[in-house]
Amino acid sequence: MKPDDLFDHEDSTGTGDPRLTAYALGEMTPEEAQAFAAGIADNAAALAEVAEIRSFAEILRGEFARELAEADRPANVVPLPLPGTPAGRKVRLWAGLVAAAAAMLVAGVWLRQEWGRSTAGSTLIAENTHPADARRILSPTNELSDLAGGEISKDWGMPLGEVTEMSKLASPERSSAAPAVLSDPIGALDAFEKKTDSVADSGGSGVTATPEPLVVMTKPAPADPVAIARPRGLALTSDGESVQSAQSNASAASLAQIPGKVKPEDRVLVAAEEMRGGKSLQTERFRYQMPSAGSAAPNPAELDEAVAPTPAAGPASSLSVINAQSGYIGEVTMPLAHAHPASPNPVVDKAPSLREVPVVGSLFGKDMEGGEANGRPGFSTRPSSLTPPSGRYAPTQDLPFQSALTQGVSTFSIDVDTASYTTMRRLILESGRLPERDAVRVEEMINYFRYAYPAPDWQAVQNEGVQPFSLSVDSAAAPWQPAHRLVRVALKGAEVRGERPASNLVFLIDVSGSMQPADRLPLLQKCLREFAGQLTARDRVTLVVYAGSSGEVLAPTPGNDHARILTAIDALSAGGSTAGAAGLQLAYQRARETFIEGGVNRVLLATDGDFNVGLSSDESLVDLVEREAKSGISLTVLGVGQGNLNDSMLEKITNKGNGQYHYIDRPSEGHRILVEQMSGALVTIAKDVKIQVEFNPGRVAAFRLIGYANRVMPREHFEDDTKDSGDIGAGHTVTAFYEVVPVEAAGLTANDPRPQLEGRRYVQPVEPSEGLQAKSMAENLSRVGARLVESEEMMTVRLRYKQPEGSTSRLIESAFVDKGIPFEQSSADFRFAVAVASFGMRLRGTEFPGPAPRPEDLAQMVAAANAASPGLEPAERGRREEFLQILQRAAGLLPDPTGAPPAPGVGEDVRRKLEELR
Amino acid sequence: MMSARPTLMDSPPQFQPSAGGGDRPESTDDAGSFEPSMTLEAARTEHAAALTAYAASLLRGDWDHARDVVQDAFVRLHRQSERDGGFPSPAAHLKRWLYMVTRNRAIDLLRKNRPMNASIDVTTLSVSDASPDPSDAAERRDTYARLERVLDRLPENQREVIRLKFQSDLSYREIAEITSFSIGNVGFLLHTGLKRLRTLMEAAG
Repeated sequence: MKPDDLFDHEDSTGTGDPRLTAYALGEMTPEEAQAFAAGIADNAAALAEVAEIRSFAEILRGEFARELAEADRPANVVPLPLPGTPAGRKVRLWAGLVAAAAAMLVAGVWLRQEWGRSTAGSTLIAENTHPADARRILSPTNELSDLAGGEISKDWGMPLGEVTEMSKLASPERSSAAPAVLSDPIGALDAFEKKTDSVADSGGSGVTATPEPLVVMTKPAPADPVAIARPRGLALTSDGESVQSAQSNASAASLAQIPGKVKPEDRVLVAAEEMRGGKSLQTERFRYQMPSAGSAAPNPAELDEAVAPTPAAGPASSLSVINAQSGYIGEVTMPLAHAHPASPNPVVDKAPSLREVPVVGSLFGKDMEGGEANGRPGFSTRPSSLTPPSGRYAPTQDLPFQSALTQGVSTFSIDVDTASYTTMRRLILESGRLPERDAVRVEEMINYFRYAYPAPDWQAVQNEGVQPFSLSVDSAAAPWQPAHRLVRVALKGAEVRGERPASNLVFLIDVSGSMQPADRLPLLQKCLREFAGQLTARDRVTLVVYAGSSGEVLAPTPGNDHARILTAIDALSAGGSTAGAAGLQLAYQRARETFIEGGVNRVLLATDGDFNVGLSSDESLVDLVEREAKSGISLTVLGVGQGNLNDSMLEKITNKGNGQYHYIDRPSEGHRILVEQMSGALVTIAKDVKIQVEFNPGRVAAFRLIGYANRVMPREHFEDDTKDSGDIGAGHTVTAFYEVVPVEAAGLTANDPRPQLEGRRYVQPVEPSEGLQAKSMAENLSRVGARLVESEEMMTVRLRYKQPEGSTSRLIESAFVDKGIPFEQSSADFRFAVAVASFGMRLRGTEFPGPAPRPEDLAQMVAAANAASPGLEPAERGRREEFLQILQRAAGLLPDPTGAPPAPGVGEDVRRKLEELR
Repeated sequence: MMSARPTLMDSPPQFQPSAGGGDRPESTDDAGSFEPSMTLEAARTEHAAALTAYAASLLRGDWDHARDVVQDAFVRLHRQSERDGGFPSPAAHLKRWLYMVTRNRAIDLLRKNRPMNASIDVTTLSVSDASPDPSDAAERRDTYARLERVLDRLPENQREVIRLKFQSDLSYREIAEITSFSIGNVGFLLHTGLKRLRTLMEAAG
């Protein structure tokens, strides 16, 4: 290493090498450090720099340590009085703060699902919980986003009692000092306004006598549907007796006052268990489901009468609730409870009143216009780019354009999941809302549809070991930028002909209380019935359920014993909490006992949410699934219901479980997955399928992969058979698009590129030439010791796959020459798939290097493609027509594309982008 | 199947205890041991202060939320340790775990409350009611104002990496694992940040 290397960055002091710092701070290995030290031994400037860095580091450490010492003093914390004796459990605070905080608290009274053990129910009063702690814990920061249809990040909410313990541990000096933390802008605004009001009213003291309500959690007895259905938002005292009487007062009559009726299965009350004597907590989430759009609106006058708070009850609090079904925003007004233990009736009898508020303003954006109806900030359904992330979906970044010269190899795993499409469809068609960005996986949308790619012959595959899928590559111009090419890489798995392999299937079904609605367990039952009809004597079916207790409801049964299977399916009923021992373990156990060699062995998990299958941590679950998959039992997930699905977890475990993740929102979808594409769902024809594309920089300036954002892998993983990848089922099609910028369109000359030269097909090493002013790419390349290989090919597609039972991958390679076809001349399937991809990209807010396609344009594209596809099967045609409806609906929801108008010279944007890449 | 995601935050982060000890252990996927004897209190004593400062820095000075975030992290640690029968070992893994959890939550909080930062300064609201001793605050402000002020002038990433290195004493590799920056990037950020910091602090006097 030459000393000169240290100074090859444009830095005036000549000390731009990060290795100096690394060396100075002792971050190098002994060998590296020795070599480096030797290298700078005679470089005075470098040595001085190292010394400076070290001394400065010491100064910094000192400063930081001082900061820590001072920060420990809780000087900027608001002291609040401790709760007193049971009788005097009143805390005085500002009325406004109480109102807003209680509102949020009460609105956000739900807790996170615990991967816990279930223990016997008991009634817990949240004793010894500082109200500030309670508020803080129970008003999770994204409670409003959850109401908006998102879901709180699983890790954010905390059970009440446990934090009590923790808060004692964690901050002994804080036991009396916990600021009232407000975590949402609207609440904060309210609090601020009300505080100013109340300060004015009460002559500036800022404190009123309104007692502080505490939220009480009780664990409902499983057999008590009324307790389960207690309306959300009750503020009760922590006095045991009041709670008891409150519970019995929560009669069906009061429930009836709530418009739309809170159904028992809505499970609006959160359960928490005492954490004493080492017992763990059991917590559950719940949502308050408002009436659907179709139900009659309540008569406001009647309601108000019924629920008008008595003056003594003090100020009412209001909180806003967003209806996941109809998208309305409703407002719930609730009087606060008395804290006096002798109070005859806490307002538990008074059901919340409901008013629909028009939606204006932005829920989470910076502009909050006032709502006319009530003079408060309102909310709006802004288009998807502003839909706040809910935390349920794993965040993914769209892949940017990459330079074909410096990063010319793209490797990714295939995927045949379709859940993202069905989720999106349901949201748009049924709720008129756009999905959040991370819920949209473009590849799943494209792969939802079946395309007419040529398929290999099943017999040839079975008997002669022929490659079990076909690979085809096509291209056409990109509709949004005719100078760019869209290249489609398509795989089609062989369809099963003749007998499907014997299947050993264990259905693990969530039968917790939340599964009662018609779009959950009953829907599943319907799908299962249909599915069962397809089974034969060679198959084995087992049904395992999990909820309050898990257990087998159908022992392994031959597939042709339809009567018995159907009886067991019919007997499924929802009830009890989603807790459970060993549901998944039991399922795997059964599957192992009835394992069919050479057949399909699969656990199919059907759930609506944060399923609690009795394992102790997220990590163990993934390990278990992966382990079982490696020894032949794969896991597929069928998701149902809305709002609770832990999408990122479910996708993750089906990846590890060598299975698929589907979302079933209606019977036809269940039919599509379990009947129509049953063999695809069950029969894996190729494992660990990886695709690698190498672009020719002589033809391609830049490219980007559309979709598959969380499926890309490093180049080396392609060859590495130990690295997992996606599987293809029989009959599945897999489609991936690249947007390619040909060199002619980019009009670039490379400036000092540094291509990776190892194993490149189109760029090869040569003796580097000298030259100060390179004018062309060839000269530049030669300067760094590379040259382009002359070739007509635009790219080479490589594919690796393993046989279902195999562990060594096979390689397929195919070079592609672009024929320059315009978009209109591409096949109908091609154009349809591009329309789907474009829509997905719009939903994600992806940038287009040209005018972004509007849903109306895409609808035209789709209609034309559908018209040109006479041979579609009716079911597939139905789905494509339905996609048209989705586009039409979305036209009213998506904002106008805000991208810059197309640059006058083609490639200006791209040129700029590529400059940035260097 | 694979699930390689280049995401900024994986939730939840994995416990990755390694069998080896050493000052800067390699992060491996070996099943490791757990330390039942380590107490939560000890972990707190050692890490809470620096974690809180770190979280507050991520949350742009919001110490209240920072405290919450760190509290959450310890709650999770407690719960996870109950399941696992102990804390991750060696100590470096525990530390790294705590930092990752803290960072993830702070970022969650930031994402979800972005508008809040723009609209209302909540900390002002909560503090204004019972004001602390003003002279106290002034004094504190002076003492580490210099550091805070110049730190604020660094780009976010440089600031974060510098704090992790010099306040929390984490290695490049650990910082890379916690932040998902590449090690090379960490080195570059540190180098550039330090230089800039030096310049700024010399100028500030």
